Amino acid sequence: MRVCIRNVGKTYRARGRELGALEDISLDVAENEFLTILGPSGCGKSTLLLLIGRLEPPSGGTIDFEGERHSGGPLTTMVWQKYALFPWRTVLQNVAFGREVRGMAKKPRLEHARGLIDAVGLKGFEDSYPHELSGGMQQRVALARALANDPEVLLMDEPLAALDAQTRAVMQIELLRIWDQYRKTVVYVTHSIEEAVLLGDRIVVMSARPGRIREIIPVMLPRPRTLDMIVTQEFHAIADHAWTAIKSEVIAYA
Amino acid sequence: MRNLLRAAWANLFPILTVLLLWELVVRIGWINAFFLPPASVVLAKFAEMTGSGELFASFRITAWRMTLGFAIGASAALVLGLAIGLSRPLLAFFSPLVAATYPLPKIALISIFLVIFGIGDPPIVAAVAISTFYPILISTLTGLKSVDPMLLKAAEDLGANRYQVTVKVLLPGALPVIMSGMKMGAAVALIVVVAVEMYIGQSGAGHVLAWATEFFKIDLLYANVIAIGLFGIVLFKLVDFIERLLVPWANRD
Repeated sequence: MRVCIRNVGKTYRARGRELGALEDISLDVAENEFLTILGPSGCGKSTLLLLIGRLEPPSGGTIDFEGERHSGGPLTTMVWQKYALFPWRTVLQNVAFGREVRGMAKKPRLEHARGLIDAVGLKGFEDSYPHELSGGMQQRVALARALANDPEVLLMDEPLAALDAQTRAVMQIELLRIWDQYRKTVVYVTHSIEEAVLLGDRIVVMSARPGRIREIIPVMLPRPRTLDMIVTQEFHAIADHAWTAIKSEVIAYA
Repeated sequence: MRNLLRAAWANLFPILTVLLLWELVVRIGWINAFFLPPASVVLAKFAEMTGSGELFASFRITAWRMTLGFAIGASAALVLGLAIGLSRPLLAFFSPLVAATYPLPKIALISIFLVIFGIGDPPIVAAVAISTFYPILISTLTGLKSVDPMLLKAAEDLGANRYQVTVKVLLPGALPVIMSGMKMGAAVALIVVVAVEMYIGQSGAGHVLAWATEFFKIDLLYANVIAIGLFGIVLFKLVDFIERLLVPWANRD
């Protein structure tokens, strides 16, 4: 499905003062697009995800989902930066959570969860608890849990930000491999330029608080993407372009 | 097997050393045997009490009072704690009441229980129940508050309704803290049951202590103190075991 965001704004009220988080955001996310949102910390990009996920209401404007529904799942499901796994549930029980609360019978939902655990490369860890896994593995579980929910749109809030550089590089490619398999519409928030270029079909560059869309940069790199592309001229050109767009915003904020 | 023996010896060695020193200082005469009988005498008394079934008889009574009191106090605390913790109006009503009554040492209520219930098991059980009630109530409230709000958001995002968020996230999330309250409750229950038995009991381990003191049965006194210590060890191992069973995901050393 497409996501149509029109004139969306969000202000928070804190100690009697109004704090503008987002201002006049208009944006279309195309069907099966991998859209990355790039911005300095505190620019409201995570807030935008919460609004698309309907976990918070916008202060103004509309967010609509248009087109045919493909899945039996919800419109959106979120992958959180800090994984947000349930520590008392095993990997299998975590992944099956969405279908469990939507009343699916135990056997098929566990069967389905096993398939996704396999797909994210965690076969053999079904009965482990989250605290027994590394950060990268925990984020794989969180990804499998979101995919098991079979949403129309997958929302990802800096899912790799807590990982070390090497694990992060591996996970970026893993993420693309898994995305290629399931072909979801993805809205992916990051503050890493390299990540935004490597993953996205388009990059939405946001300004510092209150967050506005500063520029939308198409990424004309072929798929499947590989880590080797990072050293190509084309990659550099796009990354430079994004850096130019975001530079003044980072300086304004820092 | 070899490691097991080594571990057992590592625990046993310090205990045996202390027992030996105890025996020596009394035999040499550095400590008056009237105040501290030699270890061998105390252990012999302990063995005799165990053999005759005397020890078992008194501890069975004590364990029953403690268990019953704990069960009453813990279930009341859990029910009330969950009700208060999950409802704002109830929290607003009960918070001042809990804050006002919490600092009172519950042992001070023993005379009131005596007046209400008369002599026998009921005032002892009531004292244990009220003493276990507070730590478990407080830990239930703290536990519910300690659950990471991000987990509640994540559950909601995955499609859980309010009831499911409560049962599948809030309660299991609070359980580790509730369990530590249970542990504290068990420790307090043991202290209170022995103390109250000493004061108003006509049977039980605490009563034996008071009786032995009154009639200068010093070997009986020491043997009984050791027995209460061993009883405490068994109790805490049991509670640990239950915690492992209920909270298998918690990090442990």
